[in-house]
Amino acid sequence: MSIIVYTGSPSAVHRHWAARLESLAPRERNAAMVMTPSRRLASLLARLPHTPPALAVDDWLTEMLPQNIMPLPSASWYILSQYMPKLPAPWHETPGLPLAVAELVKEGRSAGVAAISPEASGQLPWDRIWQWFDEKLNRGGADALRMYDYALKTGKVPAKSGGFVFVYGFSDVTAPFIELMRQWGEKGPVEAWFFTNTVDAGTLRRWRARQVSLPEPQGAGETLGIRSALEGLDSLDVLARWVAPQIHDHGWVAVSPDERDARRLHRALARCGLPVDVERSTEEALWPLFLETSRGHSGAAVQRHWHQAVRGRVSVDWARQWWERAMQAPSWAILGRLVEEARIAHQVEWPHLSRWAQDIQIWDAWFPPQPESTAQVLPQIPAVSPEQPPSSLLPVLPLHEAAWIPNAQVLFMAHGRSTRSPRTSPFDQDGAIRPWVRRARGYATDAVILQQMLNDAGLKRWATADVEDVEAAGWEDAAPSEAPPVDASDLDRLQGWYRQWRESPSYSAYTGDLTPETASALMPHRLSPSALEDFGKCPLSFLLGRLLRISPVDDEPREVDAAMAGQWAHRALEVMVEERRILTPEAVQAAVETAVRDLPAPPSVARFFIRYQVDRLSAELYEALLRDGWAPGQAADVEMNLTWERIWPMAGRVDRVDQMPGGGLRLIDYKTGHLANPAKPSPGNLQLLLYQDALYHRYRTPVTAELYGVSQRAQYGRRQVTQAEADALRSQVDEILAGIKERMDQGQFRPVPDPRSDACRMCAFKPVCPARVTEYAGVKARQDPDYQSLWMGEGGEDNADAD
Amino acid sequence: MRMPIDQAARDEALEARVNLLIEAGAGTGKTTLLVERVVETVVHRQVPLSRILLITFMDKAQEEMRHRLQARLQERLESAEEWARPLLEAALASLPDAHITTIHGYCQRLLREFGSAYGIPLGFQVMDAVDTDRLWEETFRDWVQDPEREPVVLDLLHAGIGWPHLRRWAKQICEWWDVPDLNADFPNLWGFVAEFRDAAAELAERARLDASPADPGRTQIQDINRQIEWLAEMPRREWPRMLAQWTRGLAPKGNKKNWAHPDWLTEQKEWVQSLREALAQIRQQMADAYLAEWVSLIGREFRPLWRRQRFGALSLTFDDLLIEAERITRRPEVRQALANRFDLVMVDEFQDTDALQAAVIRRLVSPIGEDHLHPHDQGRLFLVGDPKQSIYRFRGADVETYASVRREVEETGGRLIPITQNFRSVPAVLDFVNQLFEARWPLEPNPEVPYIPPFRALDPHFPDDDRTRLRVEQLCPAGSAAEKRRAEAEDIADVIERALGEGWPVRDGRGERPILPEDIALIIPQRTGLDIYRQTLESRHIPVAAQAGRNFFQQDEIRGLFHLFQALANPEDALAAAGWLLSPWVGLTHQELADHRLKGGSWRYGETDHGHPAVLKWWHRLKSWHDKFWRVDAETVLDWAMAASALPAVLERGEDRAALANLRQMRELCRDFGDRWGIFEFARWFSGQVLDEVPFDEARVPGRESEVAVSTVHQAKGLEWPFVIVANWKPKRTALDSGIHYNPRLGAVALRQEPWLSREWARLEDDHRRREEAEGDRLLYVALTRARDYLWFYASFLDERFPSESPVEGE
Repeated sequence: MSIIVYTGSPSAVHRHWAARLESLAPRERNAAMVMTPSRRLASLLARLPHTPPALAVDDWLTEMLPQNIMPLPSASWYILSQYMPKLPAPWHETPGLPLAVAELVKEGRSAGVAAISPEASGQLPWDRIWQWFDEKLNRGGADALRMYDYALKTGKVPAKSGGFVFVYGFSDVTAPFIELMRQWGEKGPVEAWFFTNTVDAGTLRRWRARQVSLPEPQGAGETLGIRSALEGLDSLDVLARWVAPQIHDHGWVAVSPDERDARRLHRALARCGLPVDVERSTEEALWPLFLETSRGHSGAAVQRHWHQAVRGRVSVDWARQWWERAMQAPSWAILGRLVEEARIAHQVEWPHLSRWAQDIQIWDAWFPPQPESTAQVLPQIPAVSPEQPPSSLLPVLPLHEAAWIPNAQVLFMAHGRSTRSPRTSPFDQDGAIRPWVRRARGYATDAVILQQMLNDAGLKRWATADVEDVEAAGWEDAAPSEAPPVDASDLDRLQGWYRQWRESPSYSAYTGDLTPETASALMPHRLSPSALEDFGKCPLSFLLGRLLRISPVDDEPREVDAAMAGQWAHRALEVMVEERRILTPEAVQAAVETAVRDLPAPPSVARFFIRYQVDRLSAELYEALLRDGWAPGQAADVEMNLTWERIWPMAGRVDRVDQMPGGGLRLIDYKTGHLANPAKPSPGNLQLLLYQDALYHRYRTPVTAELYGVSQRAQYGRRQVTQAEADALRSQVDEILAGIKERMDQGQFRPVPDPRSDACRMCAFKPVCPARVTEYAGVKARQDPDYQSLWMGEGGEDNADAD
Repeated sequence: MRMPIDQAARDEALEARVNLLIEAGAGTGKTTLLVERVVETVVHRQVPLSRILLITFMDKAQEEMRHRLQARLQERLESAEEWARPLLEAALASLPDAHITTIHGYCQRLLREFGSAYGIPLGFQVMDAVDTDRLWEETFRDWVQDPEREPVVLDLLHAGIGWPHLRRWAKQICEWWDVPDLNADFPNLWGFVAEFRDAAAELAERARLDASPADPGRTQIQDINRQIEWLAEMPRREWPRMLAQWTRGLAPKGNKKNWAHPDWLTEQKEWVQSLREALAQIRQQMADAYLAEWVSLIGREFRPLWRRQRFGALSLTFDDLLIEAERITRRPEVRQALANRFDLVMVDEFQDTDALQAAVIRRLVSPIGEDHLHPHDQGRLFLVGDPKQSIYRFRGADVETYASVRREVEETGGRLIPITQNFRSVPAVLDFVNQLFEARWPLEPNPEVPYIPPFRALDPHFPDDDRTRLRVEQLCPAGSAAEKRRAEAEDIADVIERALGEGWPVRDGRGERPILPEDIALIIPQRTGLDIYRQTLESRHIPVAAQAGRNFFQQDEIRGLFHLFQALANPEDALAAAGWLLSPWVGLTHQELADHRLKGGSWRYGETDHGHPAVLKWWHRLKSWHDKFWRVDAETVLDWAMAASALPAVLERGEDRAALANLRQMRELCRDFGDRWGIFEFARWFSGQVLDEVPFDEARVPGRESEVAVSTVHQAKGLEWPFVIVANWKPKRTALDSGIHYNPRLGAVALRQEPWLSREWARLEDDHRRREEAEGDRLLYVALTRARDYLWFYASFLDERFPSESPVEGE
């Protein structure tokens, strides 16, 4: 029995190996087995003609394990690092060091290193560290080193009796694997295929090595390099457009340093019209969405998506409780069962996660889960296998696997070797560790493979984007293909948007102008003073909010906003007056708490902010009522509804009406913000005078109207208008109302915020307001002084932000 | 070729074997000098390139330096003698790995090499500003809501210090290099009230009996008395806020004619005055106490937690690189390892360093144990700077560090070498600059005002001619700011038209040629009012480079995408759905939205039974996108929009080049952040950027072939144009922004936030004002020295007269 090793350039290896497989008799092919370094590569090779069954070496090793031993589940090395004994000074406070140590041990063991001798490094107690990991791994779980040990003990061979074992796809071989090959070679024929310079000469000398080459060199390989973006496209798009037409014909594979790059290229290909799936499957995406919901980090939007995805099978409360239970899980086995419970509740497969849930209990022999590590581990576990068989359209592999696909052409994504700088390690200066660390880490292998491909005259083509340091022959520009056709009417519409809104100096249907008929049809039967004020503060906001009824939604407010605080203040004052409570700080606080109960804050607002607002409002309202000379007995009504006619049929509600001891009424409008002067009416400051008018006509008794600032911000100020003053202002108010009516009737709802107010500051419609592009709005405003004259009259100063 | 007038100084800069500080004025060829010194060191001192550290100020400068060095080494190699060739070849070979880096890049290397033994996370990443903000906010929110902290924080909130202020100040404190110890006792409010309460009641009663009811003094004392009564009835927790807010109505009032005993009014006025002063004092004492409490709490508790959090996430901020590098380079063992690493340490733009950077640099070239330059360790330091061009104070650059190192170099046996020969500007421009700044700056450094640079006149290199090269304009003296700008803009348009029409000659590498639009730059100190200039030039058909401002997230096309993300995340968000329809991606009018409403249409895109056809078409799309939204990446959402809307096609037809560039930049953001965080996190971040109006650079628009550049002074630094127009020049705003400020030089922290004003505020503001004024002069120096052939300076906002003004040709 023997081992034959073939070496050569990638294209030579591809060619000879394909020929070798073709030469196999059907019986030989059926008995043979191709061993590959990964499941992904095995799956791809199995699709090629004449290829015998292919198996990833890890899968074979797993099959060899005894029943009571299982390979380490995902995230095990992370978990081990969390529980590693404290390192000595000065290392014990270095964040990231335990994980680095764990990874180093992992890499060492994958490379077949049995232990790091303490002499090799005076920096850390390696012998104790190694021993600690060994103890953990000898209790039910197995890493690569132990799996090789078990496989050797079985003495089994992957191929059927006497069949060939083809070792293919290994850009690097470790000591235990070599030992395994030796054992296979003693029991049957083994053929191993390597690229030149990827396996050291010493190893090759042990076996019969044959150099393979191409019968006729093909000349220099063609290379496409795309170094700079074209107008309108980035380099990835250029690359994708160039590759897209050729994918089916030329067997492309893509090389990706990590998964994010793969997704970018897939999206670029999808943009080119290829049927690439850029959406994650429900199974894949649901697990992180569930975790986000269950952790309570999400707002209503996330919850809504999750609800739609699970179709109400699981409630948010259940999800939150699940997270609590997971955090308190006393054992890994229980955590595993919880994961399984979640899977069943969601009615999905989650195959990888399910397997993880079974395997993770091995750690119960050593340490229980802790909330912090559980919270970090769960999101790391994918619901579906990260080693899914690759897409047949454009497999995305790491370079050291991609290079092995026969006849494939290789597409490098936005990153090349230049971006994969070697990781530094504090242990690199340790001579005993360096060789296997370098071998075990991908970047070193990548560099060798990349060099192989650069030198390979047989490779047809390969393409790169933005890889600065690849000296590619024959850079060429890839012209973008024609842009997809666009509906001509859409083009006209958008050009109209730019021309009429952005460039035209006058207002238009893009800036709040409606036909008079449309405006008339939209107008409500009754108007309220606050609606009129809204128009006065900004006609466009009136159109959007009052006529079109477009309402904004803050999905997950974290704090109590001014509007909510204002509502609480009004409700608390209503409670105080209605119930004629004795004025004490406690009574006011109770009223505020009632208000908060009646008008609850969204669940996303933290308790701290509610507490702060309750405290603040309680103090300020108590102070306000104290300053007002608390006399609830005078109050004739609170939250009184009024209807009346003044140009339009009108309706509204006033905060409080007091019967004054000397006769007459006092109308109080509470304000938590800045106080405008009601005696100086303007389009944005009419409300109090209109209410006063309504009240006077209803009761035919003099009304003193008063704005009362019930907050520190309003400085507990008062602004009063007597009946006589109101009578004197009547014609002025009528004039303003007529001006408003005229503009409304003409359908002009333009983005013209009252220049004397700070209307834009708190405006909910800011995000959709064209006037925010001040440069353009300013041009229009200058063109239409007539429209703006309504806001340019006398008075109305100090009108900011009354609410 | 004429020898520079300062050739001897330049030779010395290449040859001297002591520490050097090259003070190189604008346009004097300092980069060339740096490159020459490297080459000289490699060839004549036979120092390998690997033993030279060259620190530049910006990443871009680093690349530029590498290219210049490569070109110069190659040039030398072509004419090198045999013995020098291996040296030059070796230098060229090692150039890709040469230590040419920014100070932050150098510190990062240091920390990677030595940091893990000193608590620096192993394999750390440098967080960008976005991730830093996110992690900080998360950490702060958890910390502040801890039940242990809540009482303290609630007390501060009750004192009337708003939550946004507390949060912003905490962030600022986290950015300080250190936190000073502040101690301030809280004043005795009870004693204060007790002191004034009885007297107020007594005075009010006396006024009631003595003064006529209409007398303002009587009203005033009664108001005061009521204020104190209200105060006494309020819970004590509210007293600080109430006392601090009590600032109105305290100017003593009253008319003796209204008083039966006029002396009593005098007495009352004195008392009111004393109350007023006592209130001001107690307000200040409270401000000091609250400031000390918050600074200490954040410094003592939160800063260490924040450090643990980011280090635990294996992340460092940009500032950490400097702070931690400075910390670990204090360690003797690190100093030992670094002691002989570099034979030459060169620093460009040294005027823009700060004290931390200077400390790290000094330790590379001084004996172990020393933190300053040393007479016995000479020849390894080569600094190049110009204090007159120090314009990065807002970013922490400290020209006083330059001044102190300058002194140190000289006192320890090093040399200061001024380079004054200017190779950029014509004599008329230099004469103007020299006259202007000779009058403002001293010839020698003045230790009393170390932030004011010494001035050495720039020597012209080119011969004078009789063309008009310079003009200073002060237009529209009595006009408003907008009028001044409009007048300047019109005048600028005139002169540009004239220059282009007449083909004013400008120099290029081969001689003279007629001026083109790209030879002209409009340099401004800030962007306020810039639109007026741009609009005016465009209205005169003068091509202007599309401006890259900082309002990326406020652009129509970007806001449109924000609406799309919001709408897809939450189908209940009617405003987002309508915003998408109104955006340039869809382009509907308000009239069409109204029609949709009148047809019974809904703003929920899931409801498609009624409405305007154009709206319903999009509702169907949004519904279908919404169903997949949670399973895709941010870039896919952008792709949906790009494929479904005609906007990209409209933009590619030249409708708005800036918008097209912004969409490309948006794609990068979708990839960078969207792929890192997932779709919902990205949507939240995007929303925050738009709604909070976070400044963010607009995408640079690929230049047309020929257009007038518009540049801020900071962008213009290091650049030059044949024709420079400096306009919109206003005196620098020198007031300190409200909030808290720490001045490490004075060792003082101060607070001003209505109504709080702490004791140290005036001192800090005065210090700040003087330094800002000095920086304003330096900005002007940088702006004016960008001109090669022509300089037009519009100084309409300045009151002073200027030394030189030459008439426009033909006038």
